[in-house]
Amino acid sequence: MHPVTEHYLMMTRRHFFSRLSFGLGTAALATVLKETGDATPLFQSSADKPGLPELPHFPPKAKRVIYLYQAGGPSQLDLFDPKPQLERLRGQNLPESIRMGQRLTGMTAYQSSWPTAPSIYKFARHGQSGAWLSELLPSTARVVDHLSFIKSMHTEQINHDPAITFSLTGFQIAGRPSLGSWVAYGLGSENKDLPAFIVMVSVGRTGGDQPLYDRLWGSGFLASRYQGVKFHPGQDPVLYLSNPPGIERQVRRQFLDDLAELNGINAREFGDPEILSRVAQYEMAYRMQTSVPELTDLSKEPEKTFERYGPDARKPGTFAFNCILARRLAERGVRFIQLFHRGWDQHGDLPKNITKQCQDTDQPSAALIMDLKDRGLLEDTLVIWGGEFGRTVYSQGKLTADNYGRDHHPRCFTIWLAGGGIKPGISLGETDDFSYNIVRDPVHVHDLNATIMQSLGIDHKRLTYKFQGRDFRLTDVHGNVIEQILAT
Amino acid sequence: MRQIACQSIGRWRWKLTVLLFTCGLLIQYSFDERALGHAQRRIDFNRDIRPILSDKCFACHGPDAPNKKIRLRLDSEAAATADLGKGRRAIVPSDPDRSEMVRRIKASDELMRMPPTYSGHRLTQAEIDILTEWVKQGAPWQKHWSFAPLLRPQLPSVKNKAWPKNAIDYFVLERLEHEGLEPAPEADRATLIRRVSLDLTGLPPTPQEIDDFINDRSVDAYEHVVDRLLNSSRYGERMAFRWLDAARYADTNGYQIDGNREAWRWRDWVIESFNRNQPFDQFVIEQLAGDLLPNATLEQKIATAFNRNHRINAEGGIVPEEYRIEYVVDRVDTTSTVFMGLTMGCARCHNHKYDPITQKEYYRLSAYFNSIDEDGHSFDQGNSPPWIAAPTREQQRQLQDLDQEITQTENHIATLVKKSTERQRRWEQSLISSAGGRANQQWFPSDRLLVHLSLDENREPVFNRSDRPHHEQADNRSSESPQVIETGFKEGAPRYIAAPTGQGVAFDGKLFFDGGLRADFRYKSTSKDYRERFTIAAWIYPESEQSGSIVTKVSDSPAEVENNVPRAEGYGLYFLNGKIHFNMIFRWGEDALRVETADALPLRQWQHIAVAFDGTKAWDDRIRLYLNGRSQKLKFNQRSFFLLFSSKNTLKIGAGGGPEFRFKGALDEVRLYSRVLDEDEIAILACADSLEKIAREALLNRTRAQALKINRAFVAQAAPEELKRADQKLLDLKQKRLDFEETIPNLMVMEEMPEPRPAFLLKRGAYDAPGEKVERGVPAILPPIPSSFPNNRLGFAQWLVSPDHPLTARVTVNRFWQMLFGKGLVRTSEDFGSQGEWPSHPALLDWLAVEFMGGNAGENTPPSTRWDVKAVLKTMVMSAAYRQESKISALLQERDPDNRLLARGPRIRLSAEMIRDQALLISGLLVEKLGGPSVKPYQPDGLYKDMAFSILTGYERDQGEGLWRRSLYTFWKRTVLSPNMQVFDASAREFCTVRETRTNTPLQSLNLMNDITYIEASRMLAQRMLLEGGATPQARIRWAFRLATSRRPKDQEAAILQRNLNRQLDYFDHNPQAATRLLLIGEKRNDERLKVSELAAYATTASLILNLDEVITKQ
Repeated sequence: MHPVTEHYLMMTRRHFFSRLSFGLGTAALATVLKETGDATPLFQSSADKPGLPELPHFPPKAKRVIYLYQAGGPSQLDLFDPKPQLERLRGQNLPESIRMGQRLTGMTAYQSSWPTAPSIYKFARHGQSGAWLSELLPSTARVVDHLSFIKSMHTEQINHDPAITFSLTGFQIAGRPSLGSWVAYGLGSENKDLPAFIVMVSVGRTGGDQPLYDRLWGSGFLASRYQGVKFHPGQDPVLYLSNPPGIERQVRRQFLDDLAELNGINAREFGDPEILSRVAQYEMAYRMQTSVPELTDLSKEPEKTFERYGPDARKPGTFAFNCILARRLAERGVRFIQLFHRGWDQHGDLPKNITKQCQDTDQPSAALIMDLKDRGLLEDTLVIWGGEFGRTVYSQGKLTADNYGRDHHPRCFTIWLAGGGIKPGISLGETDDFSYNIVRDPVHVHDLNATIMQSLGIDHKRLTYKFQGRDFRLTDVHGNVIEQILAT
Repeated sequence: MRQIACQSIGRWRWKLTVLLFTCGLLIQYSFDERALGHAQRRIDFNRDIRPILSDKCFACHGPDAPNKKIRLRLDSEAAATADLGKGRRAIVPSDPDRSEMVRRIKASDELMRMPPTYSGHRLTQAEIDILTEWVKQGAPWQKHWSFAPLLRPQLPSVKNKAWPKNAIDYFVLERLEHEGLEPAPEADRATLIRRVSLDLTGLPPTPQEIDDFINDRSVDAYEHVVDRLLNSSRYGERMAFRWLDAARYADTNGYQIDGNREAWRWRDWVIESFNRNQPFDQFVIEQLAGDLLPNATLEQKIATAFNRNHRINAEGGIVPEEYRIEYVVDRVDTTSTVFMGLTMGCARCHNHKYDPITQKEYYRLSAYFNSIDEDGHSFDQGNSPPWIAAPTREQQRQLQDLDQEITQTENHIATLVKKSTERQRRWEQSLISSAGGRANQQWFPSDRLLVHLSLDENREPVFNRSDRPHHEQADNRSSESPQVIETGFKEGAPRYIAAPTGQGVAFDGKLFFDGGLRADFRYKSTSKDYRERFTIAAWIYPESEQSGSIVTKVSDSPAEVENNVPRAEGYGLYFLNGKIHFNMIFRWGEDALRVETADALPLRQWQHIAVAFDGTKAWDDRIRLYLNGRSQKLKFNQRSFFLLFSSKNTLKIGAGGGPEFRFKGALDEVRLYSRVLDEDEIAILACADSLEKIAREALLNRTRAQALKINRAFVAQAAPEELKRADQKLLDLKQKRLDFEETIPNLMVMEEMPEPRPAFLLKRGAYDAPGEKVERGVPAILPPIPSSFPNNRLGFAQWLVSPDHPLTARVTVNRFWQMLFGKGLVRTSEDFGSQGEWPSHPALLDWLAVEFMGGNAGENTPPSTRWDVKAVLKTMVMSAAYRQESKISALLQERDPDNRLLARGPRIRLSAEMIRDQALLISGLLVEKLGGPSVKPYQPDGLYKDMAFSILTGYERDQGEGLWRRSLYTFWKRTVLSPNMQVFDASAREFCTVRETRTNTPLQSLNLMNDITYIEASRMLAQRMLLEGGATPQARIRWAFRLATSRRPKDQEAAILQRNLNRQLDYFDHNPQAATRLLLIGEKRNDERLKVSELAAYATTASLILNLDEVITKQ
């Protein structure tokens, strides 16, 4: 939206507040703010609106997104993209006709050879759609008919920091708003007690060396109220949520009433709508003190839930636990829910590590799909599973009969999507015999982001923000919606 | 403090096109105009026309048009009025009907209409009308306002002569009168002193300061306050914080690993510079090019860290050149934004779409910042070269003292040596006469000798101490289960043979000596920034050109081999291809330091070799190889070394890298030192002659090495006690100096390479797509660099602050204005280009800029008045405009919600650091201390745990004063910012930030209510209320309220607070455990004499006060 429009909206809202403050006694103020639905969506926007007025650009297929981000770069070769004919070439140097001089990371660029490392895992077709999956993903195999695979994803970055930043902000250098913050900015929240954009992080059994950064859910040049709120495992899912020991909830209530009254006195004298805005934020904070613990308290979940999501599901901080939370957030209308699972960066000992990663993620991911499905939420929730790039067909380090590693590979990787707006049972794109280059239907990261926007009813070319004199957008000057996977 | 005159000299030369717009159209020009009402205004090209052209047309018809093969350009008068063929012209002045542009923007046919639909832009009817009207009036053109020369505008005349207090007010009032508005009355004194104290020092006034001001009836009472604040050292801290945002200063390296760096010496330089009111032009020159100033001082070199504050990337596998280019780009973008308000970054990949800056000009500018000897790949932890040791003033003094003591001791030794000449002669005689018993006696340096294998039959290896603890501390990766490894000869028994210093051992290509898990020399660690120093020396007798491994710490299993050299991880000293190789390898090709001697060595003879590594030195001086005591010319095979290598391999003599590298030949006297031996010491090691043999030589016939050896031996063995003691003292002092050096802060600085690195235009901005070579130069739209300036960074910096530069002063005063008023006169403080916003008060901006520079070129102003930061800030805060009260009337809320017209004073939420600092101050917790290493105050536990690099997940919170320093000193981790800073919109400092933003969210409320920082502050404020606030609850409430807001509470406010306190007293009386628990939050303990329940109640009320909107606001 143009800042002018934004400004006008703010003025309108401010007028509401100034009339409110001058027309009512301050004692009534807090009550009024509590009761006025209008006062509540302040979380993502002190401009006091649920989103931009011109949005959605067209009827959305999805109301919300759950992005199961697999940080580190899962190996497409061992999970999704079978190349059985490679077994014949085991150990042979990757042909130059395949590599074509493309740049490699410094971790393998100086290897004396690039031995072809076929996956040691068995692949089979599953479901009516006949999607190929490796034996590492037995649970995913049971839900494949709900999923749509893209095997021809590609990006431009070969290292984690730039690649993950690129994938989530559309630019490899820090400073641009993240996908979720664009969505929060554009569409706002549907829940008055929770932020529009929530992030959760899990570290798996293997640990994980690829760090994450605030910027991956940051708001860049958008106002910081659009940034993702990161949930923390443990006592306070939202930082500073709990009252300190010794301060009971009714003490806090009195505190807030007195605070509102005092702020109201100043508001009347100074006429600054920001003061009333602040009062409303304190009320929202107070509501979050109940809504968030209620959300993260799984004690009322039936036993069935835990069976479905697997043995980790009771343990806060695991991917499985976060998947349950993701479903609960979706139920509550949170707009953009992003999970990060670390540990996919398998440069060495890939077989050992990927097995553990799949133990962490396979069952919960599949459970989430079915859980959403059962609750009728899958129809309008877009679920995405994938990371920042793929991995090389050649082994990093020594190749043995049962061990190998794989370096970063930006030229092709696989992701899956499901739910709102996605045609299920599709497999789009094809890679060459080495899963090295794409031979059919390439899909760029910008295309994926454009498609995510599209599902939400946003034309990615029209959601822009003027900064430093330029209209910026998530997809820069690129991005084509992937029509083939969209449900009609 | 300089007084600023109200009168303006110079002529009114701000030539606005004076055209009255009379046809009755109500024009909505720009956002401001719209918001500010509909008064009729003159058409002004820069204000009214350029923004439309820029925003709606330049993307195609702008500076980048040639690249898009578009003929029409609307960014210059000549191009816009040129014949486009067949007599068609976009603009025919005074003739809209014949102007193609006018026809096209009015076209009803969508295919004809400009801008085209696909551009996403549309002209409003008002915009079409004003463009048409402008053409009708002759289409007068102007240079973009911010590039126009700066000339001091005349003060406008105003009706209300009583209001202005200084020049600023004439400009403000003229606009207000034009708009038919009245300025607001002056704020009351309490409000005013709070506002100005926060603005100039970042902290609120004390009640005493408020009283002093209120009671000061002199006419210059306010000025006294202002002067006091500007002279406070808090002023420098306040100013520094914003500068750190602009300069993207942080305590970590950013990008993936985000390890710690050491940069605080620069931060302290900034504080000091503001506090001593360094003229701003010097401030600029030193930060951009202090290293290039003649006889640059340490402080001037420290200043240049400004352009090393950018992020640096340590991610394994990156292509270093890609990131080296990013660093250069960051410098260009930051420098352009901070000093010129130019969004140069747009021209990195193509010509700028809006501003007259070509891509080539971008790269010409970048060539100024391209020539430091840096690597795009950085270390996981710590700084990357070029760096300097940057001792504090206190450390400099201590170093001087140490050096003086060393010189004195050396002189003392020289005297003593002279005095003991006779004694030495007698001692040497005794060596000869008693030769039978002491034949082949040797002397070698033994200080910090870690491993010594004499390789004589009857002598055991010496392992003096383990260096493991040092490294284990540094690197928690090495804390694997300790292996027990038997040291000794393996794969055969030693065969002793005659060697230079007695016996040596023949190595047959199988035999080797395993030294166990020792000598764990590495360069850097992942978790601690230390810099290794060590020396390895040995006598070697190579049988062949491929004699193999001499001393290594690499695996014994077969490694890949390249050019006959093993690619094994670890360090190794080899004799291969007839040369000495020394390699430190983490990953061959990507991450390693590999050198060899330039010349081949003779075979089948004994020769002495040594390698000395000094990690504190610059790249090329880090390694020395010696042959027979002489430093050898080196060939670098690779010098990009960043990570540590595995510590699990044992130290091996004669092996490493696989069986084929077992040494073939003989070795003798293998020594490893955990320090760098100097040339003299290496010469002694290389001198095999026994002391007896040297003693037999006549003094004059002795070689230098022989003389050194016997003299050192005498001092060590037979000198008088006094000399021995002096010698030991010298050793100790030198060690002390080395140890002291390790405590000196290190700093990354700019350091020009001897030959400038060639610079190229990069196609699409890509590091691997160089185009034409470019020379250094500045954009043509700006004045040229005077020929008297050097064409390097220094010349560039001098040019920025030269009197005819139109941008630097404008951009800088605008930022100061923003700091005080919340928004700049140009609201887009980062963009003064054609897409930036038109200034609300253009003439005021220029007046301030000229005033700040100390006059126009040619104006005869004294040098002391030039670029005086405190003076220009004083002028701003002395103005009536600044002193207005900030109440917002309904009228103003309607007319000017953003306060662009300045009909009232600023009312702005405090910035993150001020909110915290104020709470610390009024609770009595604040520890005021200037400078020093960054501190780690409270932050939620486990914040880094699921985010940071696996071994950087800890946060060692400070104990004691580090918890309560000003937020300026808080440890700033770029990828995971301290949350109480983040929620209040602090910059993560990943990149340059000059615009201040303020949001209002529930996370802020939660933070102020529940963060340990603020609960502890409430507790301590409660204690102060009880101890200092008076005898009654009412008095204490009033006292605390005033402490926090600077004013006395209204009765109604006091009553609410009293009611709140009474409830809390009652509550905690009934819930004593709750009180106890509350009081245990935070490290600082309350006074034990106070009653717990009472204290807790007061703490809750104090917290209420700290949460007041007014308290976190400047109003």
